Amino acid sequence: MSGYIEAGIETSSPLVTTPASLEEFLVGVERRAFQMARVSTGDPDAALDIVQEAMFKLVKNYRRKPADEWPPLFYRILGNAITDWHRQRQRGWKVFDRWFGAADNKDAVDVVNTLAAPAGLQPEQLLAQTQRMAALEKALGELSQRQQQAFMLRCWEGLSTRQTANAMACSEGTVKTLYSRALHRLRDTLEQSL
Amino acid sequence: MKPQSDDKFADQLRDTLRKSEQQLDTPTRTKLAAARREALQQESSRQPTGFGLPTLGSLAAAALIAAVVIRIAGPLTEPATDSPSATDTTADVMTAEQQLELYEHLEMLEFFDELEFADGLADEPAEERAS
Repeated sequence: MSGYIEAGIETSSPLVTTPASLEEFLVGVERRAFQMARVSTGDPDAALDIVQEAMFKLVKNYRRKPADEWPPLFYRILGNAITDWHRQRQRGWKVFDRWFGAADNKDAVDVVNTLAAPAGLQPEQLLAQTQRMAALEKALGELSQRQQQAFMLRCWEGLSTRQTANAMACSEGTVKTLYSRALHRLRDTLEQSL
Repeated sequence: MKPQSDDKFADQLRDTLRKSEQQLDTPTRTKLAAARREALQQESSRQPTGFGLPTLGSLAAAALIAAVVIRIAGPLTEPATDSPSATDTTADVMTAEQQLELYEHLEMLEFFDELEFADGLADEPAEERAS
């Protein structure tokens, strides 16, 4: 079915295989897009809304585009939606945070409750995986939004530097810089835990 | 210890991230699938607009707007006042300058006509008038 499925694990390789239909493309990216949005926002509900919005806009505006253009277009829409979410939240919560502080961190990511236990994993393995993911999400949360985006698109989604530059509306040089800095910051934070 | 290369480190991170995709809970997967179906349905539910239909719609809208504008603003050209037309009223005819002169002269012409008629009768012989 999907060109993104390899050995039972959905992988992101839009460069390797071009999806035959828009549905196949969306099936291939929806979980990854959700996780990206959730890592960036720290809010599963907001992430779901953002992914849905990105899907709607892609189908509405770009369904006639060649299939190999869908990944950068989709991730540009997704990135813009995430940026809008942060802006709205900053406006809405600025006054609230000033008065009540950030102690009530109700938007903290609850990785354990969001992830399900896949069949075949021992409890120790699941725990280790969950802990690694929690540590990685925490480290990703400490990156700037642009660094996050560059890292996720290059490393996680597997877009080329040029596609990532298209998705982020910047130059390839900027993408390389952002990705390199993100990787080094993550290494500094995570090398002991991974 | 030699630090691992960036590529190897990135591979490790990618592996962790992709495993997390597989561990999404069922409600979230269901919601994502529903969102995808909804997004794709908007494509199939969109009615095809035949060639020319948007143009016809635009023309109809333009005609409607033009009709409303003309109705509000009145006729675009003023009627000519120099030559009375079929739509002129009686008052218009009566107030025209040329027509008034004609009526004034008409009385005088009738008076002259009567005078000439009377002179003609006076010149005729009495016998002819009796017969």
